[in-house]
Amino acid sequence: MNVLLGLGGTDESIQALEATIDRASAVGDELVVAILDKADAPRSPAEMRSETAATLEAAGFDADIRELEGDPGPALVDLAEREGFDHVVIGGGTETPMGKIRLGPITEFVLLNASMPVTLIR
Amino acid sequence: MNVERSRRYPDEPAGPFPTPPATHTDAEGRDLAIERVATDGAVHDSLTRMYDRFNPADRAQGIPPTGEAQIRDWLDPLIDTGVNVAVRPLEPTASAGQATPDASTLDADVDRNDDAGADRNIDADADATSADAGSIEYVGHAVLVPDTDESDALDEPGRYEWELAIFVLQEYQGAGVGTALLEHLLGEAAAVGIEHVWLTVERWNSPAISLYESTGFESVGTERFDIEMSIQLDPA
Repeated sequence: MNVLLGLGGTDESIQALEATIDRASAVGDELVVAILDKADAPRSPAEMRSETAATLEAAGFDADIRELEGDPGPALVDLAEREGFDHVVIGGGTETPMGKIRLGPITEFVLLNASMPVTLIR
Repeated sequence: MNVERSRRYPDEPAGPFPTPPATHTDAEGRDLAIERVATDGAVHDSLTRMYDRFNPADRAQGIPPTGEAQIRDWLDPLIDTGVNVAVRPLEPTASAGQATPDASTLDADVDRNDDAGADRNIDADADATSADAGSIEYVGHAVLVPDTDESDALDEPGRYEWELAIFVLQEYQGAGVGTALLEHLLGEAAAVGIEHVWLTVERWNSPAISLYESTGFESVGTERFDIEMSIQLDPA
């Protein structure tokens, strides 16, 4: 399958990247990693790109890395539709001090608008 | 105090709210004790049992977790670091939820037999956490946890924002128990010096949203799956 992974520059993104590499290696998926321009993320797109490259290299897994400009949810779904990806993967979900799971607006947009299956890793 | 907050709070403080311990008669005529609870083996055990009985449909945003070990992992730090208020029937009752009256009586007898000869009419025990703690059966729990990993948040409670959660067993819902429990938790919070309380609630959970609004919470964040609400207290 052709898998598109969207990364927003948060800690959950790193976790999603590692899980997706594991899965893609195991089943032989082709992977494209899209770096999203998430305004309040702790890592800039450039930082996220180099961290992604390092993680891929450490795993010995080859994947294209693309930076997407603009509103992250629409940009990711648009790329997935235009290039006919089979599957979209996103990281998402933070925990409050109480342990409540919260999903953000990017996650909601992708879940509601992507026409292909979406995996949410949290 | 000019500490930067991570969310908006109402301009005016809400309250005053009643403080525990207290007794409360719910809309079904059940007499309940509302009390502050803290780290104590029997309290952990009782609340773990309560959450183990929790209706899965009443879970929200992943809590309470399912399975006793997972419940303890989640619950123990809340009891140890938070402000906790719980509610229990004054009359001995059994595994709230499914039991017939006969089975309830039976269970209560079994649970309480280490206190042989004691007066089983415990309605004088409104704040008697000392009494036969092993048989306490909480039916509701409300808790505030600080947005910090510092263990001494209660030394300077006004510096922190406190997240609220409240759970009431299904058979005690719809009888005003949640309102009473919430008000007493906020009363306790103000009494210990907490000023800023917030919570998140799923958008479709209108009974919970109504409860929070009627208590003085205002919606401050609606851009997610959940709604964020907050309240300001007038600390003692």
